[in-house]
Order: sequence, then C-alpha cells, then structure tokens
Amino acid sequence: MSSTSVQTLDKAPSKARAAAGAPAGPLARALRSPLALGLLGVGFLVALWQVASSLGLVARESLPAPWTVTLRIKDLALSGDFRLQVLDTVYTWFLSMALTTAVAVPLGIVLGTVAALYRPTVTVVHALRSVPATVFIPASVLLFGLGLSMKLALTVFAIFGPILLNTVYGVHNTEPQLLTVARSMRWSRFQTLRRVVLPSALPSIVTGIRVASGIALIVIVSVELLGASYGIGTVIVKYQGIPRPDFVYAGIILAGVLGWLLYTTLAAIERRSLPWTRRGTDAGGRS
Amino acid sequence: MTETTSTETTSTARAEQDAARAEQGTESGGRPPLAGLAEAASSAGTALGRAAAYSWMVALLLIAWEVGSRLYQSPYFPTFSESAGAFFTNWFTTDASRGFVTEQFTTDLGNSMARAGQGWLISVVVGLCAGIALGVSARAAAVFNPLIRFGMSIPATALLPLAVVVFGVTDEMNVSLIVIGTVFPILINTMDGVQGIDRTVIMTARSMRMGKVRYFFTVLLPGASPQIISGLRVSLGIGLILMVVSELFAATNGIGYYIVLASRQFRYVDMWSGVLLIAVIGLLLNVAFALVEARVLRWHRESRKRAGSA
Repeated sequence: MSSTSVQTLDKAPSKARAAAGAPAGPLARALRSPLALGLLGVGFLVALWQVASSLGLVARESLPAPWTVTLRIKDLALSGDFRLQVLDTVYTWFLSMALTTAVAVPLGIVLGTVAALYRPTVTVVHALRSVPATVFIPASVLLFGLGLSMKLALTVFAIFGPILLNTVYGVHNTEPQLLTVARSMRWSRFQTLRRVVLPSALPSIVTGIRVASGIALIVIVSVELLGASYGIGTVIVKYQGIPRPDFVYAGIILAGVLGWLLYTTLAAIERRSLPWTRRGTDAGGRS
Repeated sequence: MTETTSTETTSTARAEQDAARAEQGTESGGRPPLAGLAEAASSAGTALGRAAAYSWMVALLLIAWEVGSRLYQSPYFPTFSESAGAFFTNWFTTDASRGFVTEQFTTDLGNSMARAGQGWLISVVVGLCAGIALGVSARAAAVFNPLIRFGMSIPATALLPLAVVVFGVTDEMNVSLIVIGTVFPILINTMDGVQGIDRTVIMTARSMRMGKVRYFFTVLLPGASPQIISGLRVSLGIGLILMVVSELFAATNGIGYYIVLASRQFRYVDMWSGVLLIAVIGLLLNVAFALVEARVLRWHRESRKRAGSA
C-alpha cells in the first residue's frame, strides 16, 4: 500500500522540502514525508470520530466507536461467508470488464478507422451515456431476475460507453503524419494497425478501462443494494435491516478497500504495460 | 475541431454536403448587407444537417427497440411506440396554463432536479475550494491524500444504507449521498489541474510581480479550467446516477420513486415512460454542459490548435 501511495505523490516531497527551506535532519525529514503527513491526516480523522462518538455528539446508532468498527472489520474479513460475497462482487466486476473490453475495444477500432461511422457512433454513445444506468434496475430485475445475468447486463450497459468512446477517440486521433509514413512504407492495413494505430491509441483505451472500473463497481453495488441474491451490497443492506450500524460501517470500509485495490491494480498494470506514456497519471475522468 | 472532422465526413453525409455548399455560396457571393443574416441562417442549416447526419444511428437504435420488443412480446418490455405514447400522456399536456407539463412532471421531476441540483452545487463549491487549496499547498495535499484516495474508492452507493440510518428518508439523505459521490471527482481534478500548471507560467507571473488576486483569476483558474471542467462533467453523470439510485432505494417522491412504484404496481409502460423521461433529461443536461464547455474553453482549443499548426 505504502509504495503506491508514495508513487502517486512523487512530486510532493520535493516541493514540501523546498517550502521548508534549509535541509533538516533525517528525523525531521521523515516527519515531513508524505507518508507521515498522510498518517497525520488519517489519525486526525479517527481522533475526530472517537471524540464525536464518545462525547455522544451523534446518536450511537448512527456512529459507533472506531474501535468497535475495527473489531467488526476483523470479524467480517475473517468470516467465510463474507469472503464468498466479496468474491461474487469481484467476479461480476471482472466478468463485466472482460466482456465489455472484449467487445467494445475491437468495435471501437473498427468504428474509429471508418471515417463515415465515427461521428454517428460518437453521437449514439454520448446519448446512451447520458442515461444513468441505474434507471434500468427495476426493468432489468423484471427481465433478467436477481442473478448474475441481471448484474452483468446493467454493468455492461454502464461501462460500454466509456470504453468504446475512449477507443474510438484514441484510434481517431492517431497522428496523420504517422499514417502517411505507414502508407509510404506500403504497410498493409493490419501492419499499420499493429505498428501505428494501436500503440498510439492504447493509452486512451486503458484510460477508458480505468474509468469504467470505478463506474462498474458503483453500478454493481447499487444493484446489490436494490435487489440481488449475492454480493457485498447485499451484506450491507442485511446489517442495516437488523440493524447493526457497526457492521454497516465495517462493510462500507471494506467496500472502499476493495475499490481501492481494484483501482490500484489497474493503475499499476497501466504503468507497467504502457511505459511510453508519462502523462499525468490521474488525468481525465475518474469516478 | 469540428471543422476538421466535418471535412472528413462530408463525402459520406449528403445533408452536410448541402450545408457546406450553402456556406461556400455565402463566402463567394460578395458581401451584401444581409450577409450576417444569411450566414447565421446557413450555420443553423449546417447545425441541423450535422445533427441529422450524426444521429441516424440513434434512430436506428430506437427502431431496433420497436422491432425487438414486437418480436420478444414480454409485458416487462413494451414497444417503443407504447412507451413514447405514455411518455407524452404522463408528462406533457396541452394545457398552456401549466406550461404544457402535467402535475406529475412538476412534482416528481421538480423534486428530483432540486435534489440533484443542490447536491451538485454543494459539491462544486466544496470541491473547487478544497481542490484549489490542496493544489496550491503540497503539504496539505500530502495530509489529505490518503483520505481522498480512500473516499474516492468507496462506491458511493454503498453509503446509501448508512445515509438512510443517519438522515432517515428525507431530502437531506439524497442530497448528502449526491454530495459524497460527486465531490471527489471535482476535488481531484481541480487539485491535479492546479498542480499541473506550467512552472514557466508561474515563474513568469512572479517575475511580473503580479498581485495575488490577479494571479488567481488570470493564471491559476484559466490554467486549471480544462481539468476542472472535465471533473465537473464526470461528476454530473455520477450525480444523476446517484439521484436515481437514492430515489429507487428510499424516497417518497421523485422520478426514481415513480419508476419503482410503477414497476411494483405492474404498470410497466408507465415505468418505461419514466425511464424515457430521465433519458431525455440526462441528454439535455449533457448537451447544455457541452455548450457551456465549448464556450468557456474556446480559448483553450484555439491555443492548442495554434500550437499544433506552428
């Protein structure tokens, strides 16, 4: 965890040190490192939480003490049932991402290369993307039931647009000079695609996949809250109904950890596999 | 940008070809006193032609819905014509005194939009202020970075049960959920935008002894605005998603509530009319946003084009 959070912050320490002026001793420098400052921030929030709950500023049923929640996190993380539910969510997430990528990326490459289809495609995807996917939840529960196919259908609908759009943009924005060069080298269509179009479009495609990963998780969890048989969302709803707020908090924090893990994994794969792109790592739409 | 793409697609879209020809006609035919009017008319024609040339695929999709639902014959999946009919009867009237909309339209959509609008505006204010502060101060950014990363990782909808426990089934519940979901994209993009301002530009401003206020409005805000606006666009979409989910989950009115109520009462055509209404609203909001974005960021695109041609 610490290594990646340091990586995303790579320009912060030098700035902080520059602001501090004179070079300080190793201990002072360690205290000023982003890791220490970050821990300070987290510690401050937890302290605030502790104060609020022990002074009874907020009703006990809406804010249990941090220590109780920590114990519940341990309980949930150790329970086999909860792990199965998390696996179900992750499985749905992975399946929807794989399915959408397998269909949307080749489709986007075709649509991006054929100039006649570029604008109509972009229009239709923009139109569909404006529709919040969650509005289809009641209808798709009726059509597909409560199982995996319903979750998959909604998630694919929600993330098809971002991935397709980024692929089409990436392919469409290939440097025209490179294409001219490829033509003058008499490369075949496939060779041009492999050597010119794909490398220049890949960063955009991968950004699309990364954005989609966040949206997919939001949609999957919403579906699980509103009506699904399995998944991390169903657990949270179950504990809300009992009601056990401490378990609800623990579930939410674990859902956050899950989201963070999925996102960081994707970002790491992106950095590793696309070393020729050194743009701002976090630019563009995130969700 | 639209110029270059349109020249590429002219060969295929006849409507646009006509429009382009009309444009050339006004170019070559001297400059009569009404040139401005003619130009405006032809540009309106171009826009219409472009819209027609670009949106045939949307029409194709609606036809596919109609054909698919006729073949599939499911009560849950009425045909497009039925849903569109219900869309007009449920939401619009010919009564001019009500502004051509039904009472259902004003109560449900009005409540939904009020929630989404409040939540989004709070997020914009908080996200912009916090994002600029964190973008300027590297140390503050380091303190809050883990919290922001984590807050962003929690799928906002997972907080829905908690929000119901804390606020009950109230408007505050919906608004707070929308704020939590939309504030992070705005905040992070603003922060990145401010941090990403070219150092040479900052140095130049400093060597010109620019005042703080002037620096803020002429260097910092414009420099970060492309990223800020992309954050605003993403958050608008998320805001709509959360508005609908929170109303599906717990609300006593609003368009999401209308949809879930209709599905429980087996009024499936009405349910789809609600879906269509949200689709139209989402579309209009995005188009409006794109127009504002094009206006606000015109300098940015022009300067990039100039940089590219140089």
